[in-house]
Amino acid sequence: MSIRFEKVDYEYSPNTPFAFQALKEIDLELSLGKITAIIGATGSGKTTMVQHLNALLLPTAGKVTVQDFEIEANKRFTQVKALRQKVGLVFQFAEYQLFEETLIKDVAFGPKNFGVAEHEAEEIAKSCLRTVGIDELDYEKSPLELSGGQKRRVAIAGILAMSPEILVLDEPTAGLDPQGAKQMMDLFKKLNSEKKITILIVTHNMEHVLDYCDEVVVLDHGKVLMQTDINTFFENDEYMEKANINPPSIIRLKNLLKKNGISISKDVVTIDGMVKELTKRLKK
Amino acid sequence: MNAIEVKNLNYSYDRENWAVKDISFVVEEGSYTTIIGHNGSGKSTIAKLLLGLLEKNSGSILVEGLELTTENLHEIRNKIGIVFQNPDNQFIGSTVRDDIAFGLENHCFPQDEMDEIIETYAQKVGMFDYLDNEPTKLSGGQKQRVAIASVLAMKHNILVFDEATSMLDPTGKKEINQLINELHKDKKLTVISITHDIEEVAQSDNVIVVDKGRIALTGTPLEVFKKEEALIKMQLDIPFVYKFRKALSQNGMKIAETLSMERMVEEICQFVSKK
Amino acid sequence: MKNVTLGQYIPLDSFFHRLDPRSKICAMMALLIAVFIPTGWWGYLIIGTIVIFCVLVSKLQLDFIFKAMKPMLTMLLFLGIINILVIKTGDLWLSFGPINIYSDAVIQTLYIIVRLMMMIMITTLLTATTKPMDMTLGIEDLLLPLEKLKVPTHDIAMMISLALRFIPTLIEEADRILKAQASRGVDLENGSLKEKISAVLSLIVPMFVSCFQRADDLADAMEARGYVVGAQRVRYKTLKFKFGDYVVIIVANILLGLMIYIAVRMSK
Repeated sequence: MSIRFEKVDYEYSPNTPFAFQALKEIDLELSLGKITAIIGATGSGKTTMVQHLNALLLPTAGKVTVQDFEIEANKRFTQVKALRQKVGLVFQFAEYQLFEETLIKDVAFGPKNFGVAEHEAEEIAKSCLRTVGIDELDYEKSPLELSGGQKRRVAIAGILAMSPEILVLDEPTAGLDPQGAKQMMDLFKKLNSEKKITILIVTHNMEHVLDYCDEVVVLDHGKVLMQTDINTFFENDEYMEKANINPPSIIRLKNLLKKNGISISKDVVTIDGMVKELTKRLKK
Repeated sequence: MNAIEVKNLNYSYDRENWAVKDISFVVEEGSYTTIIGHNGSGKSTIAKLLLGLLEKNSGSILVEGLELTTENLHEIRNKIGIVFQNPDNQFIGSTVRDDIAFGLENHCFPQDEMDEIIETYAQKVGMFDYLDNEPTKLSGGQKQRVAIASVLAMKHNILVFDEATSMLDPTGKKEINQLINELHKDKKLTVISITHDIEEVAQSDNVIVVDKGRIALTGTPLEVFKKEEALIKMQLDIPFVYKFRKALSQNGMKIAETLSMERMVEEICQFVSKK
Repeated sequence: MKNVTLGQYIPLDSFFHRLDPRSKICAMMALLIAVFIPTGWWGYLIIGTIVIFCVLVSKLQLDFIFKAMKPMLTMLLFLGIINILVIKTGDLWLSFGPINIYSDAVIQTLYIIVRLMMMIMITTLLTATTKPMDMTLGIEDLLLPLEKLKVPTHDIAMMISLALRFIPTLIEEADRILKAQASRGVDLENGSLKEKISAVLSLIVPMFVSCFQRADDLADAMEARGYVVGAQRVRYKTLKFKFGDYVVIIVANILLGLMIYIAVRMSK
């Protein structure tokens, strides 16, 4: 069971003067149960790619397989609803999708659309709001009364309420302050380890990729540039160079030390680990 | 002369909670000041008050010695410009050229000089080749560069950045930070930047930390980061280099204080070779 | 949603793209009036040929224009049926049971179809070859005489240009919200009335919230750059008539005169 892209193309507004091919022959297999980062420059096709996972976009060529769902180009895909329940997609600036009068009602909106009874949906909503760390006193408040970061949590709760097995997040920490961003990432880690939800995160934040993800997929101009596990990615300068990213601070420091003749073991990527190694060197 | 002097400034959105409470600070001419604080701490409110986009409840704001009142807003806005967070919502013209022209039109620059001014400042921010592009064909970073050119074209001496890079990708962020540094290089422009980017803070001359509408800390970046615990309590970040140096010194490797990674590596090398 | 062709500017380089928007607007007005003069088939043949010639000169593809007409098809079909049911003059051409189709009904319907097609072609010719900003400038200049009647023409022009500037941004936003709600199981096509209402609300409410946010930001940005409603401004762009502009206006008006002449001759 996995997520698979086979020779997937996607073209926006085909056969018009504005035609634009966003994905070119994407071949990719993602195993479930992990936290995978999808990175790449703006316009590399990250958002377009993840919108194929719940059939918001249908491939113009090729095939996307998500568990038992098969979405093929030029074929009617009939199980849209069932797929969307399984794959929860959180959009960039998700706070803009809130519309109900109270948080509970908004979070319950998703499950109700999938046929869950009102009362039950509200129970689910409560538990999801708890999961994302919203105070119980706020449940009956209007979304308009919350801060930006809180609103985004509610929007994420709205997706969790459909109990997806795969959670896809498009730049979930954009525009949040550093502390808010960290709490958000901790939440995803918790969902992954406790609820075994497969998590795909589109992000630009390399510190987050290093600290939270298991695997990384790099897109470039609509193509898959590479797919590798996090350690291999951050241990090899040529990988990071090829992906054209700004390495996380700790990796930058490691490389700078190496240039100056102090090399640190490959697998050490935390401050504590590095400090230990440096001080050990002194005692010798 | 001070570029900006703020005295006992108060502001409330709803007349119950103070978004800005009794704030006083001074920004020297030609300096680079960063204002930090978590979301909702009141830092963007300060920016809007400086431009007179919100009307203060009490206190005073002096811009280049001129006190801001409801009567002289136009004059104040001739001295101070602002670049906002959302690149889309501040792109007013239908092309880069029109967007830069918008401010010139408002400030009644002579029409036959406009083209020259527009081209000069587009060149300055590296957008000359895009003058006739529409906003939909520009990246976020490019739109922010246009916003900067639009403000520069009006020949202000003070520039406020209200989280101008927070919606940009890393490339855009880098571009804009480099541009700001370049513009500030000859110290003719006073820069006030409201930001979450702790690395940017480390490079500035002065830091103002805002918490719950009040000024919690001020000083040079090093002075401010020394109050580590207070910063963490206010949900703020500490720069990586500062954290690392501290961890080293706690483990017996005492090296000089710095916020630059290059300097720190030099220090470490010296320390190691001495032993 | 991204396939809207009606009223969209197509960035090409042609004689029509380079014309002054004012002359294009005036010529369009003249032609639209000409289309509504009852001249019979000969008149339509003349205008039709000229309009198609213009479309070719403007380098627009004909099928692009036909695409723009697609939304009108159902309306035309509806009109045709009503005409056939209502008009009972002329020769009887066809008759199935209770339905009788008379020649006048068919001819009337064809007239309407031809007129509408020409109208769409003419307006598309204008909108597809004129940048929205230039169009606003043109409208502002043409409305200028109304300033004397205390009509705030500058403010109107500013509003139009801001609206045009934000259309692509808002379309993008609507597309994102639509997809975000679809991910939460919103289905606009199926379901009971109550479900449909809540589906529509789930799109409209976020759009409103976001529009207000943008309007707020935009107002701040404009004010910060020294915009004051109603204050004196210097205009950066001014329009200039060139030789081609005079030619276009003259040709369009000659055409209008010709149509009037044909109509008068026919009525005698």
